Amino acid sequence: MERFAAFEGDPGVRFGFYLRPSYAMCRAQAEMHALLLRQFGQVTAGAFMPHATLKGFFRSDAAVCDMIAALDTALSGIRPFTVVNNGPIAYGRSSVVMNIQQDEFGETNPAIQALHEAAFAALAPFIHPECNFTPVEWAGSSFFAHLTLLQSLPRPEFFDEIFAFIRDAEPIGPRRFTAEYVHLYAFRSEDWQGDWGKTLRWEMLHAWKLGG
Amino acid sequence: MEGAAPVIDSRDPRVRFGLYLRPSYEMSRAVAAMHELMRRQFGQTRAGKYMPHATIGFFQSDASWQELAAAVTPVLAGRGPFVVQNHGPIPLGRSVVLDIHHDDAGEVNAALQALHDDAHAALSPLIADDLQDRFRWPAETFQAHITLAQTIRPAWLHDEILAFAREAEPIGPRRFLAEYIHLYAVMSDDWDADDWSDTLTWNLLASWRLG
Repeated sequence: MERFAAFEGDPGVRFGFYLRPSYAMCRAQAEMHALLLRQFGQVTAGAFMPHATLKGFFRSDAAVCDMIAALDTALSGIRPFTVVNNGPIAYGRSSVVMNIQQDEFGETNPAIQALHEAAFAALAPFIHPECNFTPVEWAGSSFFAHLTLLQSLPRPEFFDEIFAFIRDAEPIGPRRFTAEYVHLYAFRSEDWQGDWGKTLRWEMLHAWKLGG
Repeated sequence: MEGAAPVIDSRDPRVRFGLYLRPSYEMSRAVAAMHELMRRQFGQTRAGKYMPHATIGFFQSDASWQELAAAVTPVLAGRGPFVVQNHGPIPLGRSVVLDIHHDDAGEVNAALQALHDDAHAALSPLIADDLQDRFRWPAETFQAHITLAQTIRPAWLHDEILAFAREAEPIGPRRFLAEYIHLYAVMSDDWDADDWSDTLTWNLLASWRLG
């Protein structure tokens, strides 16, 4: 399709497949991104739209229409479901995310795990063998659904203060929201092997409403 | 001390003029927050290139902005502030807007329609015939609104963005006082291009307080 031509066969493009949070969750996350920029100069998480990754960055030479068709099939039986917001947690000393992997009882949310696995399986055949992101991605049993607030903090000595600042902001967004929309994106960066967040740009390629 | 008057070349093809109603602080804040979320979540930037506003008229004219302002002044003189009702997000063409065209009873807001009609009548003589066709703003098609997402692209995102905006309700107060009217120069390098908003800039030229 002509509108996808700019993204196809270009080694400078990465794709991603994401869950969009609800309006209330989106607003809370976007406001935290804005505050982390204003107060601490942190830009990486805010370079993305608010999202929960279902299939992270991947390189592909495939036609975008083929990816969309595969996802059409994979998503066809998946209904909207409830996501539980378990609050901010640390990923090492460089990132802070909202933990949305578990349900009300502390167990893995089976619906989001299933959505991840279905999307990953649908997109796996299209991943370029030299993709530099997929081999190190937390996928399958290692998948951990999250909404990123702080990403790739370059100075770990500031981490404790920023994490405390984020915890001060609790509750960040609603305790639960409905997962209803998923999106396929294309990304460009001038440095995929290095500090890609500084020059990240994105464009939405396709949207699905679960159950719709 | 007042600053120097803005220098605007009305014959510059990049220049359009906007006569806009400024919403109240609360309404402005709510609309600006939605513009920011539309950019962050959906990459939609057009509406946010403008200040929060309700268009009374948007047009091209060879008259100087001072002549345009002089034509507007008597229209606004003696006109008091009036209440605007916010009926929430609706689709308007390819855009999603807040409907402020009607009053609490569902009738056309008479004060807003009259403001539009009178301003239109006062400014029409200053808009050349060949420009009227392109930038007409007829009374019968006027629909007062405050834009949240403008000319949504890709078009298939429209329904999702409308649902998103409805989820955000209430967006701003249910009613606010229309009190300030502004005249702007709005400039784009190429109004005919798909990406006209990429180069959009604006300049506040004159402000009136009703009453």
